[in-house]
Amino acid sequence: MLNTNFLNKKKGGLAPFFAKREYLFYIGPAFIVTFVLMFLPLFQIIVGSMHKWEFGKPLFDSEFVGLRNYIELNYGYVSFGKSLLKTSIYGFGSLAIELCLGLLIAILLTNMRRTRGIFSAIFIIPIVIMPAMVGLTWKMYLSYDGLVNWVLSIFHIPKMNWMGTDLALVSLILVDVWQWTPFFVLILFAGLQTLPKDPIDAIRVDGANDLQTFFYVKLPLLLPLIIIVCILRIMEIIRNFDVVFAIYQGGPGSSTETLPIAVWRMFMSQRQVGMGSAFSFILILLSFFIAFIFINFLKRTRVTH
Amino acid sequence: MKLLIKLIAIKIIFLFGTYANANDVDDWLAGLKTKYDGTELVFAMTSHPGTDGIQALVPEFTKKTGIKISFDIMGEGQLIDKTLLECQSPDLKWDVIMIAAETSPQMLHDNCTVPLNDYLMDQTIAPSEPFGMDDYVPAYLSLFKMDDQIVALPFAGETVFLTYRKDLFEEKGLKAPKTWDEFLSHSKQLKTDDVAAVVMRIGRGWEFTYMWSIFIYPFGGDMVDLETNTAQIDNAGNAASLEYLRKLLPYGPVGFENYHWDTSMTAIMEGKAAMSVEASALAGEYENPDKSRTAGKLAYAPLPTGPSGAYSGVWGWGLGVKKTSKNQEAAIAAIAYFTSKAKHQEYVDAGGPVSRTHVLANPDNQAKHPYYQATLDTLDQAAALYAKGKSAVPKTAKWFQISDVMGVYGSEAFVGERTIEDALAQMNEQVQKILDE
Repeated sequence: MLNTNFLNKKKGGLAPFFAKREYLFYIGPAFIVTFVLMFLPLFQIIVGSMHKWEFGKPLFDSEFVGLRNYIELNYGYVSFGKSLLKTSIYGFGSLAIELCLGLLIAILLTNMRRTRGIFSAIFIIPIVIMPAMVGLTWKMYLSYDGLVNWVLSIFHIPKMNWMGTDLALVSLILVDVWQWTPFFVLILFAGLQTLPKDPIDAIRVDGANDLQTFFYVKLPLLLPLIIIVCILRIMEIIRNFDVVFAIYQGGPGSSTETLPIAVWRMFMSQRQVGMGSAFSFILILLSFFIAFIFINFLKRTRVTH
Repeated sequence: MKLLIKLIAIKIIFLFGTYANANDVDDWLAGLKTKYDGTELVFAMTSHPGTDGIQALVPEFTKKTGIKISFDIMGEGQLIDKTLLECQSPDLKWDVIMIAAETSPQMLHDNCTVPLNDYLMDQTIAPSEPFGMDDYVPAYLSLFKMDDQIVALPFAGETVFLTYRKDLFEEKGLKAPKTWDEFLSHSKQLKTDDVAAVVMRIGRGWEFTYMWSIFIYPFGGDMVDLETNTAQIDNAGNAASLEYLRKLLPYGPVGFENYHWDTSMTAIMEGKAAMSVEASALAGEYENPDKSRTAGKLAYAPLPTGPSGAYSGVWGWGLGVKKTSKNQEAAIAAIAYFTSKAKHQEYVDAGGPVSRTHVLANPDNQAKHPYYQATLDTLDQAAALYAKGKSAVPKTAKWFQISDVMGVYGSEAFVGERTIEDALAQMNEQVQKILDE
């Protein structure tokens, strides 16, 4: 317990204020660190997005343009609308597959009592590889004579052009599924282990089979965890730059020009820090909006429970 | 007998020349030791054959001058991004930066590097003979000269030429194509299920513009007019050149639309392509038997002629000194030494791409490096473009922005996402906007 008696001895000033609000001493340092690391850069992004700010120029020497950067987002050579569409397909496509596959593998692991330790260790490997390395490795795997087409040829499936316009986005989803499904597996497996036994036993006594037990008891109980994993993953996918850049650099054509690639193009190629900040701020709002929807959904599931 | 006497005389002159040259270099380095002994320099460079060549020269330089050099080596894109983003920052403790030709006007504009002219007149830093200012390939040096100020010293010049597989050409009874039409017809004959007819960098962004600029002028197109500050992109010549590139698409490898310089190089080295239109700087790698399956099987030729002539361009890398460096003089002396006439042969022998005239013109080198003659021929093609007042890399600080815009729309037209007319109109509008700002 923090000794705040010395504050009570002094009259006037801020002492009475702090004496009644002891909690400020506990949350103060964390708040200051969070404020400096998060809100100041955010503030700079917001202010920067309202200026015609270029590299090498101080922000406050730049021309104030109000909301013009936001209005012109879709008129430059980097299209916000197109990038948003690509990001959505990539994000939700990956998320849906990873969730279904992750859940399935987690259930299988639950039933594998002896080998689950080995498999859990193996599943960690893709997660810990550096994203740029994942990109460069998969660039080789996805080439026409690469590993993916070799595997397909074993099943007599014709080789495909994974680097072409038609399959570029699908390939990105494939890479994301390879790297991040294990994340779902590990979390959901841990979740399945900690489910309360009483409701499961109760429905079993009522004559429910495995499928009914899963859909009526286990899945609803797992839902809060599923939502949290989805929030974490969607945030990650929305800002995934390294893998996309290492494999495709936004091409061919505009096939993989996702939002982070568009932001990079604005910042690095066009040196338009103001426009890049506008893109970034919308990306932040988008992440916030998606998290808000998921969290609301999470609250509702808790009420139901 | 006369011939024997002549040969002995040549040998004596050569030996004396080498001895005198070695003495001059030693004197130069001894002078540097008295002034800069103990200085530590950081070179920011990218993974490149030129970097290997420079690194091979470091031990002797450090031994004789006491100047220690460490390298901060990163990917090409990362180096360019970091340089453009942080070059003015004193916190970035680099002394020497490897500068891409495309970004050198911007380096000067952003006040990132030290103009070298005055320092290079100082005989202790860069004595005229071992350093040899006049021996740089003029086109390579001009890439790093803006308004008569030297931004960097070239060390890895490159031009673009045609590389082809001798064995596959002989099989089909073909000769090096003289025109782009002939190149297309060769492509049709050379394409098989296992071997692509043609590879080149053509992926989205600046790499598309790099390659497209090789086709623009032979087809009568243009990019920008810096005198009138106008975009000159929306024209019939550019439409024809894009149309031509589209015709090549079926004869490239699967996934050709996303080929970059590294994938293009790998395809030639693995024997998966019959022809390549690529940077001359990669040829050293093609001919390295330890790395390439096609070493010794390749021939090189200048670029074919288009309806409006035969033109190539020059690009490359130079070494510049960061303005915030606390060891500017020592850094300039070091880059003068590493790019000097006296050390260039040694640098080339260690794998560095050539950028000095005496090494390119040396018959022994031409016999050893089969691509030197094609390099000289394409330098003539680049000179022809300069004579027209044009260049594949227009000297403007905005070129990096412009080339990305052209490369984005160009790539979209190449894969059929946009019509060529739409792409050119959009490009023109956006580039004009950049020029107006």
